[in-house]
Amino acid sequence: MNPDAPHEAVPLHAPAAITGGRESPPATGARRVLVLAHSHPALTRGGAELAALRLFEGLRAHTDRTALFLGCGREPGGGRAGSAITQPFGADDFLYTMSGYDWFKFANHDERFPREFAALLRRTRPDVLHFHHYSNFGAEAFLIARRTLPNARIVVTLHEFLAICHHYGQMITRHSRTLCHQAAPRDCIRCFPEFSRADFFLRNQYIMRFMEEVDAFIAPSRFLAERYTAWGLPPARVHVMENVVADAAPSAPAPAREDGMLRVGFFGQISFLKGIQVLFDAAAILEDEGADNIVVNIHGDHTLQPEEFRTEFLASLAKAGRNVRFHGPYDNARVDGLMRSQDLVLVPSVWWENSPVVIQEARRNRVPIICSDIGGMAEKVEAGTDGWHVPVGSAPELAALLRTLAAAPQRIAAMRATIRPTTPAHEAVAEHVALYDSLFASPVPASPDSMRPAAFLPD
Amino acid sequence: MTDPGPLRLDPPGEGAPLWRSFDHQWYACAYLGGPDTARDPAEVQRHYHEAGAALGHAPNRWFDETWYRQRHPDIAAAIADGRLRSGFEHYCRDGYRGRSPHWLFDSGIYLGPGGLDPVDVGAEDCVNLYGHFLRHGAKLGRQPHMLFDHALYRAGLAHEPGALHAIAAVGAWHHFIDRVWFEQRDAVTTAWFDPDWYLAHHPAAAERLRRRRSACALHDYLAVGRSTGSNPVPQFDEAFYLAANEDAAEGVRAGRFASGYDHFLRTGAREQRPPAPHVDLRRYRDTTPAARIAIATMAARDAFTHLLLSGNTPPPPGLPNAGPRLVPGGQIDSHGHAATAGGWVVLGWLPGGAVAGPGAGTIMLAATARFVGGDVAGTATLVRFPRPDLPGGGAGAVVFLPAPPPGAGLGGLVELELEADGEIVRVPAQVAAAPLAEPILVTHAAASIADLAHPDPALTRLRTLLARRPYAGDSTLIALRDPVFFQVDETILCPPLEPGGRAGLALNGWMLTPPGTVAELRLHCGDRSHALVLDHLPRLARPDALESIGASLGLTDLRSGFLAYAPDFLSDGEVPHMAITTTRGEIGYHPLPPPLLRGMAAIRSLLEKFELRYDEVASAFDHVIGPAVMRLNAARLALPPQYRVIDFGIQPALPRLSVIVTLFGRLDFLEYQLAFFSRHAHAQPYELIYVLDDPARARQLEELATSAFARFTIPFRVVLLAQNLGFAPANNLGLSLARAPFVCFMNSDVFPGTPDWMERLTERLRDTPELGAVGPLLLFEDGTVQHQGMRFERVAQYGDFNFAMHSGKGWRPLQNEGLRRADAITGACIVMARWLAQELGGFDPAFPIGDFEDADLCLRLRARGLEVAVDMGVQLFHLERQSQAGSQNRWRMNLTLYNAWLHDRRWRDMLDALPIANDEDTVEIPA
Repeated sequence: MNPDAPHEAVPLHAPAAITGGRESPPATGARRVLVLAHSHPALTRGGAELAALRLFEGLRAHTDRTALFLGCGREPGGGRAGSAITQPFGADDFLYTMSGYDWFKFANHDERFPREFAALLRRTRPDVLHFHHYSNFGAEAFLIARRTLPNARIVVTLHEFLAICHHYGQMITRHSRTLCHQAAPRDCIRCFPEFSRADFFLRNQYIMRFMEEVDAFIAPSRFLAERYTAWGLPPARVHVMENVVADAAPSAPAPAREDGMLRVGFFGQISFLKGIQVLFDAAAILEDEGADNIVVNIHGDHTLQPEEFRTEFLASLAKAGRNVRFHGPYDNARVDGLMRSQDLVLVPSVWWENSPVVIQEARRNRVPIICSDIGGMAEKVEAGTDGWHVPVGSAPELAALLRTLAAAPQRIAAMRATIRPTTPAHEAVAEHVALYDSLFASPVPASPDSMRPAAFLPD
Repeated sequence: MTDPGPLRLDPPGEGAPLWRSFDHQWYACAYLGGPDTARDPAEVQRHYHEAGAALGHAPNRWFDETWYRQRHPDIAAAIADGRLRSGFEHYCRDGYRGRSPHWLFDSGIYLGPGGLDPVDVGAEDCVNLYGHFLRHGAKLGRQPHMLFDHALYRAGLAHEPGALHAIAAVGAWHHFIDRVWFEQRDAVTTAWFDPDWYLAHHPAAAERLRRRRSACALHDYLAVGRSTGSNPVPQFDEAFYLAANEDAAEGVRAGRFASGYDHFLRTGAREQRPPAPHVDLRRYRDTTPAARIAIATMAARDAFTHLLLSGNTPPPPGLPNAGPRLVPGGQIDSHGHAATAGGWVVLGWLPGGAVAGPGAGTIMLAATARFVGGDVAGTATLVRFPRPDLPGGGAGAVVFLPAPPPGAGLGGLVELELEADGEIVRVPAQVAAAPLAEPILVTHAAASIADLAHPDPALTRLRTLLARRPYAGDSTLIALRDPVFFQVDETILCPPLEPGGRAGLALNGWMLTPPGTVAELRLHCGDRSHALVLDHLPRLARPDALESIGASLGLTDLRSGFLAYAPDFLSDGEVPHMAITTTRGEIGYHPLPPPLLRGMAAIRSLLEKFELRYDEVASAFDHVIGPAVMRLNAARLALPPQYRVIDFGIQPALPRLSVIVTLFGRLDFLEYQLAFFSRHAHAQPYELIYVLDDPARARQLEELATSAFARFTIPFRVVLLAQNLGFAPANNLGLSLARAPFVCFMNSDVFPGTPDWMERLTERLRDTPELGAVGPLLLFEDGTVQHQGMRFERVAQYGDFNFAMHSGKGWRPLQNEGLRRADAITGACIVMARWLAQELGGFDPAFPIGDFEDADLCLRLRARGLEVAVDMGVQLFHLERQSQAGSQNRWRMNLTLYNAWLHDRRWRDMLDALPIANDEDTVEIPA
């Protein structure tokens, strides 16, 4: 299944694009892996479901492990009467059609789910359940899995800060949209006055109670791992590991450039949090200064954003000078070519980020990156090796850096030489498999009763 | 000194103070034979300047030239010497700074209580106090003179069509001045001056009035009468008073008081000095409960004022002890009890000379009516009327003896004993005289005294009583001569505690009326009645009543509302009504709305009405709110509860502990609790009983419970109540279904911390026989103490009731092991033996909804010699009050007060005897 293919029901058995060496399967342990995603790549194409899909594909392509897939759909009446879990896309590809979900504490009120999920597990008997996200299934899914298959290992890849922060897991304050460093009931009710401190206490207790059943957490960045261990996850269970990312398309030479222009690219979702306003402000400063050798190319989609933002975006665009060009959405299959036509890729997000795919894509295309100096961005872009950091939200400093680099193209060329390549997909899959196997080196540990969110512990 | 010439005067209302204007209409009316509108105003003014001023005329009705000269002899002298043209000229140039310009304005009073208010507007644009009063104060109802009372004036004219509107437009004082000058009609302005009596007893004054030398009786009294020894009211004797009070006489001579009466009103009345030889104020006050009440409530300033306002006959001073003189004779012709008038009416005759005083007239005297079955005694009114048919100067007599309706067994009247001025008259009844029916009796009595001339207040009052009509189903308040606005918004039937008893009746209403108008409010039903003494009742702010009615009457009582309760009052099917008696003796009726609310709605309606002042709390709960709510709550729970039980999963066969949780509002707590229970594999089987005390959410709970059981697979039982019962009854229902040897009452917002909390608490009970109940240390979500035991403290602002105080709340716990003994522990999480809980009947449902029933349960354990304690080593979280509706509501606050009251009345003695708990040393760490 190719994520970049059109959205038809693609059989999960499609041959993988890349083949690798096969390992010999272990006699016991992690032979059968069920990959779970909060959506299904045949339905939506968010980062988490694509990461799940690539893991699934990688497991099938690179190993002799058996891989199964369970995604979620929200389509009303999308299931079949009497069945919450169906197989519309293939034999090893399952779809849970959800109903009744509590987004506050990730509780699944669908009374069919525990029974049908347990039945699926009994039938398929996976050795490893690997969740990308747990929303839609509900955090209780870990308990149901543990109850049904006591010897199976449960692995969860963490996306964003969902368990920690009720504001879409962003750790950005809800009203002033400033960076938040630590969740605490006393602070959370400032963002959500409709809830009480006690509600946030209970929310954390509830989620954590089911996190206790998880054997390993995967954080794609050290930054995310640190936030979650500070929140209360036992550090021994948290592993930093990149998601499986597609390898770059066969390299075409970058177009020759002789005009002295600096081309700066912005890729991906266009939203406030992605720092689009910082980009506009920096471009305006350069325009005011009369810099005519820097052009900013915006590639991405703004149409899924709230109306208010869309209006604001189009207004900013109309006011922007000639040095800003908006190219609209792009097909992900073209991203390598689009990136290679740029001198720099800009990631000016004003939230923490985790491990942005855009950074992975820039690195695999050897395009130096300018990013905000916080969180997952700062971690994934090593300053001086992969690119440059600018203080988060600072348009003047971004403008100054661009002006400097426009005058010194040799610095960009030098950076292009040192930029680190990304982990190839087969290596990332192998790391995952190694983790699964390590979990079978020791018996399933008893749930530690002491595991509670650190921010809420009495002492 | 050069003559500055005549003052130029503007017409009234053109900028200058009224007192400085020229009022040509009034001038013409006062001096030129009538308000001749044809006259040229300039010509009228010229008359004043050229002739009038020299003749002592005043330029307007607000400056009294005669008064000014008389009051200020230095000015009169200056005019006589030709140094001044007129008093008015002096006042305008100089005197306005402090001299008295008018007979009915006293700047000392205007500056005193009831006078000028510092917040009154307009002080800056008025040249003097009098100018301010004329322009602003009169309309605002500020008091300008001791003998002018705005409210009384208005009340006196309330029956005249349009008068209240006219008064509201210009102010009572201006209305009065215009009335006496232009309409030449008098009016009562104060309780302390009786214009009719004054004119009737001072012919010279009547003559001066006839010749328009004075505007009215009060003008005459102030300008002339009081300095010449005239009496203002029959109850005051100027000569007697000055002779008896040397300080008063001296004060009058020195000019500090205008008269003996002035001294008496300012000083003597409060000291209860005798105002006249025949008036004993002390005795009046002591023998007249209405007077005492009126004085205590400031409806009347003092006994003298009450005497005048009430129209009562004053008691004479006690005579030297000469022993009664027994006078035989007379005859009772007929008698009977007049319920509407409120007493016994006796008709007959008395021999000549019996009872001191002239042969006719009204007197008040002590009387005893002797019946076959007992005596009825009291102060009676005796009216004698001429009976030419009787020999020896005998007189016909009507006697009215106030008394409630007789009970059965009093029998026929035997004789009437009257005692007055040291003599006793015994009047025998005709043998076998049967009592007359009320209508015949009252008609007969009223006719007998109808022709008497010169009615005195006592006679007028008796006539008023006899003119009363019984209640006919309609409100008759409008027909009263005094303005009485009364409304009952709601009645609540409070069913009897014992079957067959009478129900109590709670009322919520308001009354607005000038102070001193109403003598009694009485609730009637069948042959029973219940007096409502508003000053003993919880009062409610009724801005609505004040705005709609109070403002037009000049009343400012915001707390005109009241809650009342008549205990053991109504039998089935009876319809009560209200009777209001005025101090004049009139009676008005008002029907009551039928009781509509029952149960919790009635309790809530009653409790959401009031916000008590601290000093009212205890009395309000003892007499009104407590008994009413107690009966409503008992009736609410009289029927066994209706409920359904749904089992989720297979219930344990032999549970060790039954956990009973009442759900209300937040159902998601069930989900949280089960999620947390699922963390720990409990060593003992336990059963979970969820009681839903929130019938509207039954379906929602069924769905959530289905999903929660599917997720957590912990068996539990759901009990769905058909009606909302409250914390205690709902838990008791759970207790009745419990099967384990131990029970745990647990709030829905309590969540486990210590994993094996169930095992540890039941073991603790088993191992500590002196413990009746044990609870865990309860923590807030931040790890501070929510509950580690309660002790009791009286709270002064809440009726001095005992309240449970949570020790160390919000603080970090000092220890995390051992038992901490306490006076009581919270019902949020309490474990006890099931047999004991059932023997005690669980929580007492007399506490509606949820408060204090846990303290009560613990104290009942203590009363059995058992202790209660918190096991500090077992920690649970309690998110406190999350499971109950918001406590910001007034009715919930008042319900807490009710529960506090009930608890306090039950346990106060025991709590007073408890040693003071010491927070520091109550922990035992077991070895």
